[in-house]
Amino acid sequence: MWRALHELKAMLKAKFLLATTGNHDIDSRHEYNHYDAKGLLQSLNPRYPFPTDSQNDKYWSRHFAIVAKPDFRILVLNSSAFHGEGRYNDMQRYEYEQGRISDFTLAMLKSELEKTPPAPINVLLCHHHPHQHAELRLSADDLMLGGAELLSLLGSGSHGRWLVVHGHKHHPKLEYASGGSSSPIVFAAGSLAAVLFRELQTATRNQFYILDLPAAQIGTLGFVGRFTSWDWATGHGWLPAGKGSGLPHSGGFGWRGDILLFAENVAAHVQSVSMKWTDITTHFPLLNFVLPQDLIHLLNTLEETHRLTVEPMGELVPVIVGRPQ
Amino acid sequence: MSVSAAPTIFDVFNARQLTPRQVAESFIPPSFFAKLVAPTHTLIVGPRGSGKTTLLKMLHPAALEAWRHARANEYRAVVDFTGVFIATDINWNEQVKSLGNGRLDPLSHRHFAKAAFTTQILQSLVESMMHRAGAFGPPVATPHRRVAITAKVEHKIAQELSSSWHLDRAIPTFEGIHLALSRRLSQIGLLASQESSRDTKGRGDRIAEVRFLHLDFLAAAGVAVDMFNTAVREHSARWTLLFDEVELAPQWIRAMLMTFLRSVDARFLFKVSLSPYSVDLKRELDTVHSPGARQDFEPIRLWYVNKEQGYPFCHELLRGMLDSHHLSSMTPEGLFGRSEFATERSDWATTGTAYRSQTSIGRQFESLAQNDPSFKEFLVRRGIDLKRMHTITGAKRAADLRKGRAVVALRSYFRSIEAETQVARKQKRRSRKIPAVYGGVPSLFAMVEGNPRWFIAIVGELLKESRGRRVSKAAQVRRVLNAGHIFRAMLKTIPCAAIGRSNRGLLSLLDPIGEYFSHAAIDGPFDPDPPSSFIVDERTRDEELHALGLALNAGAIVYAPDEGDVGILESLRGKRFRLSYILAPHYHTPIILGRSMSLAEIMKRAKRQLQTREPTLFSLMEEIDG
Repeated sequence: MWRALHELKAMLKAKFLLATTGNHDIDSRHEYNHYDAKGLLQSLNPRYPFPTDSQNDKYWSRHFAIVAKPDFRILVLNSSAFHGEGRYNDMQRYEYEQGRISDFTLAMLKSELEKTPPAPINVLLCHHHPHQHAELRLSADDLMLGGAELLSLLGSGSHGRWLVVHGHKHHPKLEYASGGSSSPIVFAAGSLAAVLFRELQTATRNQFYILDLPAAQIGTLGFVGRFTSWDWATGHGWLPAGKGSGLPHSGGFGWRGDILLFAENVAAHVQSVSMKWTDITTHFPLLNFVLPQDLIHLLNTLEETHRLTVEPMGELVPVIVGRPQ
Repeated sequence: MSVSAAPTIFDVFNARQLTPRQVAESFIPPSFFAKLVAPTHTLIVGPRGSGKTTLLKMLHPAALEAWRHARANEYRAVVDFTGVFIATDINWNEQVKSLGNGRLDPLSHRHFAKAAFTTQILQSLVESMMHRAGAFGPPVATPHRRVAITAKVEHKIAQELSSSWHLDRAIPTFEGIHLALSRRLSQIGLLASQESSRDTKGRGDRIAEVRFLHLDFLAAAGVAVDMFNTAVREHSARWTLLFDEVELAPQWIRAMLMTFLRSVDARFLFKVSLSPYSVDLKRELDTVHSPGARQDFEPIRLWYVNKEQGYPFCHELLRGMLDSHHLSSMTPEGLFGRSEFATERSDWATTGTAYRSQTSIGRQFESLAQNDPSFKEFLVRRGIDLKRMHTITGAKRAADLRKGRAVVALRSYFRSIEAETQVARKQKRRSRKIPAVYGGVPSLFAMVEGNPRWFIAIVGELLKESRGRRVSKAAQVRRVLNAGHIFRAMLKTIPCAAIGRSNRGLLSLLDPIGEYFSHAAIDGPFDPDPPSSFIVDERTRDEELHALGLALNAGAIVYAPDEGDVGILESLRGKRFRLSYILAPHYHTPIILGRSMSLAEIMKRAKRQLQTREPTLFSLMEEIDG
């Protein structure tokens, strides 16, 4: 799989391949040997997770490493760092049952972030969810311990604005972390190739995503971005994500404001019989960066409060908005 | 499975998945295209995969505008109507069937199904209007019947349609109406599902209250057409409703469409496509058009009974493909060679006949005469001296020599030298894994039956391999055999009742026919006109009849209609058919429309042959592979 990812990187002519460690990547039950849960990962060829020794040393010793460039900074965190190291005594749980960022790692991370100025785009890549994600009766006990502190640190506003990309739950979700207006955007990715738990089988599919963060527009639009999703459909291959399969085929994130006020402004703008949605978003570019759930709210408000018709009804990508006679 | 729903090979080229614009990109007009674009009702009949969808989609405004063929302008000038394409494909049919989850009574189900059908037609109509009004952008190549409609006029028309068609909260633009109709389709499904869960008491009243369930599609379409024509000042303009794959639609829709072929409403033309074997359709057609009466529609058959009829089209298709592969300087003969069944130009150019002892034909005849005692006997009986072939007059030459040419070529190729021993006499066929005798032009054209999809799939691959060099006959036949193999595999999957003790689907019927014709041509005593077509008589059993209908609609057998016959069959009895030539290299049958024989007799003799023939390891393996 690691080699396949490198091949994919070459095919896409990508500059970087960044990965972090999940609970399934670690020999936390010591089935290969009784002493080294991460030895297999460290032995991978090409080197894992970074191509250089210095980055790998940091990752394995401090459980994080940072890739910093002028336009972006990516923090790769190992939330499975302690898997295979005995029990968490207070709750009599095995360490591999949850993620963790230790106090030491948090302190080192804070120190590292303070040393360098924030980039326009900052991304945290980790496996476990840093805040609770227990919808669909998914487990509430497996989140990243210390995650709240991590989100608080990243959302303080002192270290730039952050997008957190994590996995583990196999359930896609996009929302803002709790906190102030700089709280991180949390993108819970679904799985590429998992056998989905029963609870998930009617709520999501295996998906992959492309996230687009317009670095050049951050100065005017703020820390915003868009995503596109594809579903795996057996017998058909990858298809644009459909309704009810996790995240929709396309959507935005980053805009935070009053949806009702936004809807009022949009409604006031629709003076003619009909307007194309693309024309509306040209006038209100921030519409492109409204969370899917907020966009649904906005469209419903246009229909119910402002008596506009949005076609196609019930879809996240409108085509036209108009005033029926 | 109904006889109508046969799948086709090479579905990747299925026009069903292509937009009209995409269809136009590679469209080459067949000889009968002029008939199709004429301002008359039209009935297009052909097996699945013969190009019906392509032809109808070509009448859509988007296709006509995108079409860049040398004759495109000529045809565009003739098309003075607006095409409205309505697909009644298998997906649509299944969706309609599933309305109400199978729990609605037939009358209630029909209300919802009719509403869905009406909505689809109206949506396609609005789409064509949008296209003419420029809603989808400028034309790709050449504008065709574009009009300018102001926003105000569009608003007025859309408002009227919204009211007339009972569209709730529709945005009053063409696009708004189009989207509202999409919404209606979902609504219909939802209503049907809800109704199926409710008590039947009061159902009639509940359905009656939903006004849009009772729209008549022609009347509703008429409102739109009248308003549009008035707005653009084309008061007598016609709109052509193009109904594709009608055999898949519910019976009552089919019946309705057949009556429309007699319609005299000046605003509408109807062009309908369907498969040849359509029992109820034929009956409906006959109730509307009594035999001998003037037909109110133009029938177009999409198959060639005689292979020569398809050659000009194949030549033109190949020309287009050669141009797109930058091989314009190549000729068909240069690329594929001349077929064994045709004459070399050098053999007849100077003397006017290739039937001379020093030509390739002459040598072939002489060689066969030496090795095949029955052929020698035939020559003696007919008084033909091979050394003096060129002296035989035209009529006699046609009767005896030219007719048997194909059979001579096959026998020369497949028969081994007659041996003295008993054992060798039984092994009369040479093992020919890739029978290259079928390669070359025009045999290659004959085998693809003038079917554009087969032609593009097979010849397209050969051109890729060619890279400007001649393609060997073996390579050509390998491609055709491969296509035939895929075709046979598909035929095997079409559900039909067991024929005899075999459970190999349609192959249980087709294989005995193919093997019998092959045996008659190659193994039996020489016959210049061996049986190569069959007639379905009263002895043919019902399960065989049903299988024949499926085979016909799938394109595995070809109907040889009587003069004046539209080509739709209600009954197969008394009709004549041949096997598709794409199966010729598999069965080793001649590519001719030869004399016919009773199917029942063929099956009886084939059964007897099977019983007397010793199986070989290879025949057993063929049995397994199908």
